[in-house]
Amino acid sequence: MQKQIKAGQWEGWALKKQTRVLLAVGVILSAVAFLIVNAFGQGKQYYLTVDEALAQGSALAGKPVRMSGALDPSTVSFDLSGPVLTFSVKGQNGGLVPIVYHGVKPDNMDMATQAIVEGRFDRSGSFLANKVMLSCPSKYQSSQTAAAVGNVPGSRTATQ
Amino acid sequence: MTWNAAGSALMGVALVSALWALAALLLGLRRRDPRLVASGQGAALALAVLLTAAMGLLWAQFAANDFTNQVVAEHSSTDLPLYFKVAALWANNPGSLLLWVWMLSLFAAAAVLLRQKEGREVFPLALSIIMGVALFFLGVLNFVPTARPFVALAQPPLEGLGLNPLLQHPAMTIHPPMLYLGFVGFTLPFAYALAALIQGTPGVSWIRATRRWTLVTWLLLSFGITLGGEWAYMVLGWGGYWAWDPVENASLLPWLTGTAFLHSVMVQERKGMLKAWNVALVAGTFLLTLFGTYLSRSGILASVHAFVDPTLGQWFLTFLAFLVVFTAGVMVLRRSLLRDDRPFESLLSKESSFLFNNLLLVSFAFAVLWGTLFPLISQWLGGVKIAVTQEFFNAVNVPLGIALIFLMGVAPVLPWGKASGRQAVQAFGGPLLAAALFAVLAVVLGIRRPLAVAAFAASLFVLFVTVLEFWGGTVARMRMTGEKPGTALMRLTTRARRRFGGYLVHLAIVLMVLGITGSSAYKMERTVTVNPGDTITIGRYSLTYQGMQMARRGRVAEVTAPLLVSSGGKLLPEPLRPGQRVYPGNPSPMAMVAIRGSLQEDLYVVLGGFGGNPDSQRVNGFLQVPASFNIVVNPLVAWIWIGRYLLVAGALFAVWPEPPRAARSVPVQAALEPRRREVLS
Repeated sequence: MQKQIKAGQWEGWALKKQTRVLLAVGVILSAVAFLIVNAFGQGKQYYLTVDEALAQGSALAGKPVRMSGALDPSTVSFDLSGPVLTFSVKGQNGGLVPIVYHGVKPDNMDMATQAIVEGRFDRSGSFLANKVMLSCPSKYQSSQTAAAVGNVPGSRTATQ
Repeated sequence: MTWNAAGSALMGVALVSALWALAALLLGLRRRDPRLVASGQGAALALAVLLTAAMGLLWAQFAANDFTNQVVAEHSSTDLPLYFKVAALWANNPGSLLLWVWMLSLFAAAAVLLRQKEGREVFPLALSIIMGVALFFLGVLNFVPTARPFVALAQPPLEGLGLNPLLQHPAMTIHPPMLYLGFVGFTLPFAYALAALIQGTPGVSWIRATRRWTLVTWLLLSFGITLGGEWAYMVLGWGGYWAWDPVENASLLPWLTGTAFLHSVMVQERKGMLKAWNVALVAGTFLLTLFGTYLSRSGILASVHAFVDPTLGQWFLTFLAFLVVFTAGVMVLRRSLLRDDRPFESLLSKESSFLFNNLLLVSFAFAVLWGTLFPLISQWLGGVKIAVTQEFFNAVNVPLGIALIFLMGVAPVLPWGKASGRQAVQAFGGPLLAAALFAVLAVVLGIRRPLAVAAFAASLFVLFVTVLEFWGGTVARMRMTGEKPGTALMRLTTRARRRFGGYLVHLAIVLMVLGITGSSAYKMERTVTVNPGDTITIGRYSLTYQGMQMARRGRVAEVTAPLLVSSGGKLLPEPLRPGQRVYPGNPSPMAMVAIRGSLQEDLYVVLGGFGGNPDSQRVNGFLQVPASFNIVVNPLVAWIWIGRYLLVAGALFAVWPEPPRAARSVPVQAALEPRRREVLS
């Protein structure tokens, strides 16, 4: 079949085929772009410090937020019957945000100094967390450890 | 001289040695002086010896509790078992960087000693590029204060700080070195590709020369990543194995582009196409390994990794930027070498399906990178820091993953060049129909989530296609040679190791996808607080809490909450014992996860906490206090770990040396790939 096609015709035909492949490439890339844009709608959250979150006030209520701040160990309380964990994170200006987490207490709660929480503010200004991540930079140089092992051993994640 | 001074001296000499190798190789190439090139190769060997000595010294210091060394004092203690002291070497920044460059020097030395025929003309230049990379790491290890492995403490403590208890797990002794080998190994194909381009050597000898290196590297990276997942699952106690954490993503990125590269080089070898793409891909993969090494150290993303070392970060970023500019520059200057021999002829062909597979893998990698860096990107663009959640990663990558699985069924049976629609239907119509029927069956049986059904169907499709490849080839061979089934299968597969090894890896991925689908789409989870005597039900299990037990193991205090488990109404002989351990000097308890695993599902129990006090009432030795549990049922999760071993087996099968070509007789060769021949004719 192919041999019967003259050289010039062959080239044109090949180009057309190549165009078809390029079109398919375009379709795939558009689909990927659509997936990414679409996924942003589902999985986006503000990434704020405690100070930034406090500055925005009630405007944040109900919106998904990831917030980082210093953990105040004296505020940690764990009610086994829930189980409910409550604690406060502190901004650099001294502002406090009370966190409520329905779940078990992460292992390293007592020695953690930093917390990252994911969840939403309610109308009263409390933060309802569905994920609590902690880090304890002191003793084990957890961060360096984290670097070395390609994971997050210094930080413990608790998810609901 | 103290041991630390000796270690520092070794690091200094190693730096000089790498510099010597680089200079001698480049100068030798320029002057066409074989003695200088040989001297450079000798220096590369010396580098491996020096770094082996440095590693040995650091290991000896860990083993001997030499707390005069800062790294040892901060990451080990006398009561640590020896195998954890060995692992403690890389549980810190300086040690892990030393491990990196040590492995690189071993790769380089092996390449010198192996004297591969393939790619010999570009080897000296490739070696000089490897030495350049080693030089960067040695620069960091010698000159960045926080990265120096042999810092002497003026006042050494009597006892070290110990190893983070979370890392005291067998997986941690092999996960980091595996992952690092999987990172470091990509330096070789990158160096060969760039060297061939710089020298203007056309052809695919750089691909042939590095094929096995790349595959072994990829295998180790795959193994390292899954080991990390298994460690997280077994130790961290949140019931999962992957969380799209920046550091996890950092290891996945080069795996994705490396996987794309393994496939796309076949197109260049066979058809002389995708040349520029392949160079870009291997360079990208190598850069991503460096980027991953940087990301996990810089602290720029998740501030939970509280460790921030701006100096080290700057070194890495500068080196990365240099490599990007250098590689791009070489590609532009040598663009005439990167022109493809021919265009794509058809949508229905092996090369097109490889192209699509590459697009999907690279898109996958792009989405992961974009999501990982989005807090930085959004801040840079609009001043507001926005992070993406796990839902983002799943929403993009699950559909991409399913499309990739589907291609794994299509690409192997499509011929090179072009196939007609009829040929395509012949090649995979049957398996596709069978997979569709099973999908319908699954929906009838109650598996209704669209993505889970799609993943299930795509996996079955690949399974059928792949098994048919083995089956059809064996049957054709038996007919042609009269061999027995076992012999025919053996000879069929061992004489096309790359192909059938690849199929085994495909089957392994299918198993892992089934495990991931089951455990993510059909996971059951409960968090409850109960009193002694209470029963918790989840799925077909009921767990009865009896009370707490206390014990002491050496310096470690342990509490356990034995749970009597019945499955489907039948009491299991052994109770599950989730618990907590308190390590000396560490106020926080560590969870001991209890898992009852089966091929069908894992019952996974974590003790979250308990109330009361040691004076509470005891019944039969059980302290009568309330306790809270997190209980997870994870369907099919064991298949992820099983798939991993099949993946290793398949990749090893593919890299195993083939018998010399002369040993093959002509008729046998003709029978080698009957199916493919059928499709082609």
